[in-house]
Amino acid sequence: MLTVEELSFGYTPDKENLSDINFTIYKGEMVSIVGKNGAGKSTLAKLLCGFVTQNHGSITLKGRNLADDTIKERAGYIGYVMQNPNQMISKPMIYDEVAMSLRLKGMTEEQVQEKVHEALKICGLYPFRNWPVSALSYGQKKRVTIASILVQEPEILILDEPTAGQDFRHYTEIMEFLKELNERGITVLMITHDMHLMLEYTERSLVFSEGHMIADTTPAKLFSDPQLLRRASLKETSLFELAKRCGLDSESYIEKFIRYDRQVRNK
Amino acid sequence: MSAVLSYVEKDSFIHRLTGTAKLLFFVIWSIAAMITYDTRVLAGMFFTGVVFFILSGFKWKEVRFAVFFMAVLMGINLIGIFLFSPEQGVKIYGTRHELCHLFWRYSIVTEQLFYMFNFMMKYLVVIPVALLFIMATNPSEFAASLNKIGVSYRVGYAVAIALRYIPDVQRDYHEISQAQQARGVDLSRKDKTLERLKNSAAILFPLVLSSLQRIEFISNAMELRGFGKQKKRTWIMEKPFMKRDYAAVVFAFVTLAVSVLCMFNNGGRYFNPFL
Repeated sequence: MLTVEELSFGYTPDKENLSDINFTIYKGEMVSIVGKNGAGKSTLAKLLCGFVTQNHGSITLKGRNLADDTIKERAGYIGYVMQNPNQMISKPMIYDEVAMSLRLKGMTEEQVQEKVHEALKICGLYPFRNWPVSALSYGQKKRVTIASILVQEPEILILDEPTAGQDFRHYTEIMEFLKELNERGITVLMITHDMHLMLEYTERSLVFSEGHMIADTTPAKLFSDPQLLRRASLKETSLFELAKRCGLDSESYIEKFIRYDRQVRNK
Repeated sequence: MSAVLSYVEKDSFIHRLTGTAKLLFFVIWSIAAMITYDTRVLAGMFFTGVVFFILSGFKWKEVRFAVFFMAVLMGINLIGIFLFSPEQGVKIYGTRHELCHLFWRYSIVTEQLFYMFNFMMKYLVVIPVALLFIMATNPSEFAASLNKIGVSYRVGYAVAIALRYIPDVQRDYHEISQAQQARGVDLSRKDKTLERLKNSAAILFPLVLSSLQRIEFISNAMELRGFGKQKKRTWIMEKPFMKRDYAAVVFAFVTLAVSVLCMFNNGGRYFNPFL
């Protein structure tokens, strides 16, 4: 669905922050983008949304080149949820915040209400619809920003660190919610530092290091390649370490752990 | 986007001056520019300022935005002067050479043009030095120098932090504006200016919120480090006063003296070529 070819970009002319990136995202995938700070993950998201313009290469969506689309136009098909919800929220009331982009499109108030209510329901915020944003927790604010992006009905959703600063309960809540969205057919790209999140929720990982994409693989394969892990400066999860020390097959052990953990949690 | 109006690390003789010397230079220079309307003095100061700027190794590209911004402010100021007192120059210089009449009470008068030219020069004298001061002074060192000339270190530190966060706030503004555009707020050049101004205001809300949050973070972090416990503190960035620092301050004082001398010589703040 989304193809990136030979993409290069630098904030300053003398240094490239991303060079020669190639990948294709297929419809309905849930992909994680991993790498240490400054590896170019967020820059990639900004390029996809048109916040910055590439020096070289192309981004195509369903065979159409996006080069001439403005930020506003791209937002119709690629939604980007920034890491810090405070940078996105601009209205004091939750309802108005989510309704903003629809009102700007000139929809009637009934149409707006229908869509906003639907998005708020999906995000589990419907009971709070008339609350002020300031009364919400960080995690809830995060969901408000996701709702305000969802009303625009993007086909691809990019999330920058969706679970940063969340405790385990909210982490699970957000991730299960994203999984649900994914099952509804929205393609999800997640930028993350959380190795467990990557293992548990995504089937495919793009690994970035120093502005290069050094791997496009499954999370399990990534963990079984210590050299690749070191190059990406990623840390093995403690589960992986535990499996190794006990002399177990780490891949199947982690898989079993996650499955069991889910069973227990869903009780 | 490059940061506008923030410290840029470089190695030039201006960067090597201590923060205190630069602060004193900037203050004295501004006073000298403020008290005089003498075209000759202002022209001399303007060229000196530009020479300093060139020597500092900054490129036009780095300050272009800031200069344009100030030029716009200056333009508004000048238009204001013309609208509210179109005959100010006549009052000051005592003669009236009308070039052509416009309408009602407005006409183009040589004296007024000369007065406004001098006014503009005052801006132009201060702009390069102010830019240099902001862009060539490390905020931490600036705090140290404020403290050195007798300002409480708490105040000095507050000012330094404000300077330190200019680039951060600018980056926030930029990111918020992009996020707003992605939500359908149009800020691109395609839209009407009035509409764009109105939409820019929408950015202020999240910007203020995120700045307030930052204040909370920083004050907590500072408290954890025991900021403000003692009466005095030391500064890692403090530099000893060198010969070149004395030279810079002396140079500023000489400029001030010239400016004051000319004032006595002209019998007032204005240099009058019309008599």
